[in-house]
Amino acid sequence: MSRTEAPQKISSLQELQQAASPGRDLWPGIEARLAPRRRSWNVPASIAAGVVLVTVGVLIGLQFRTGASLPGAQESGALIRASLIDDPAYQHQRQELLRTLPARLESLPPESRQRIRDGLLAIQTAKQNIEAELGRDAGNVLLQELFVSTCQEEIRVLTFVGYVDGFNQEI
Amino acid sequence: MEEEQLLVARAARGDQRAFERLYRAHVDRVYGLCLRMTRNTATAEDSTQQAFVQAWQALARFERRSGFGTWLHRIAVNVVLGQRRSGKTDLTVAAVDDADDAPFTFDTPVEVAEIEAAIDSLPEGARDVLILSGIYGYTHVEIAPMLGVAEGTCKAQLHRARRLLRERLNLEARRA
Repeated sequence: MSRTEAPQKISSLQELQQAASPGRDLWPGIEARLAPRRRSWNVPASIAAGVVLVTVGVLIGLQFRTGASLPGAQESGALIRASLIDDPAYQHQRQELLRTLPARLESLPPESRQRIRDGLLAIQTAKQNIEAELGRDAGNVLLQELFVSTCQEEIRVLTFVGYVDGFNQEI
Repeated sequence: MEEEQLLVARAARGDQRAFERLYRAHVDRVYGLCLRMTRNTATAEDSTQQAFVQAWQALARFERRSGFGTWLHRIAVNVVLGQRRSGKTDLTVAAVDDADDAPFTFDTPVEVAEIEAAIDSLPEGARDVLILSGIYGYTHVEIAPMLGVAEGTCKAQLHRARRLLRERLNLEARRA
């Protein structure tokens, strides 16, 4: 059953439709004409990210060296963990990177975002496992080095997310 | 809106996928305006594509003082006018200061098709201002730079458009 619709009437121009759908998808034609654009802020942002990474890396390295210079490996292992976990400068840098992480992740495509989240989760799990092992064998130098390099790796990931072209492919 | 700002920021950094999402969100309003101004689907499609390409090229300069949609509209209007200029020139209208800024309403409801036909029959300059002001709600201050005319000219065009629309819709007779 078909019914003839009454012609639509309006009382103001503002009731007229503002939007209309094109008869075809215009995106492919647009996409073909989009020139790849260089990121104008890429170089300064990369430098800034690099500075953060070096600062935190040095910080972690110093903690490691301070710990390693102690006579007993047992003490040094405990000290490394305690100083890294409790050090305010390191924690501040890490917290700052974690705070800005969601916004930087937003700038990435969903699949890269997921890969980075998976990568960070794996690093955090590794840190927890190493910490647990260090709790049982605090004098194990290999575990100490592994712990420090895992912390550095975490900082490296946190620092460069969303800043460096092609970084996503590394993870 | 926050999501749109993030998309704009990503697109400004060269992310084409973010720009495609902006395109999907805004294409109907941009195409709608282009279609109203050009009255031709092929020309409107071409203008829409051109507007988005120009937006991509200018994204780094988008200052976010206006909304992204308004900014896109400005670019679209510019594209349509540019295409027109390459064909023919528009008539200049003497400025008036006492043009009516109130929304254009009808005492008796009028059929959409009838109004659309009446708007389509208006001279280009008057039609542009009527579309931007009456349908999209932009002010003369916003419309004047979009069309590249003085505010006074803009007001005069709207005055002219309203008069012609009333005549063509025979509104005086309907009221009586």
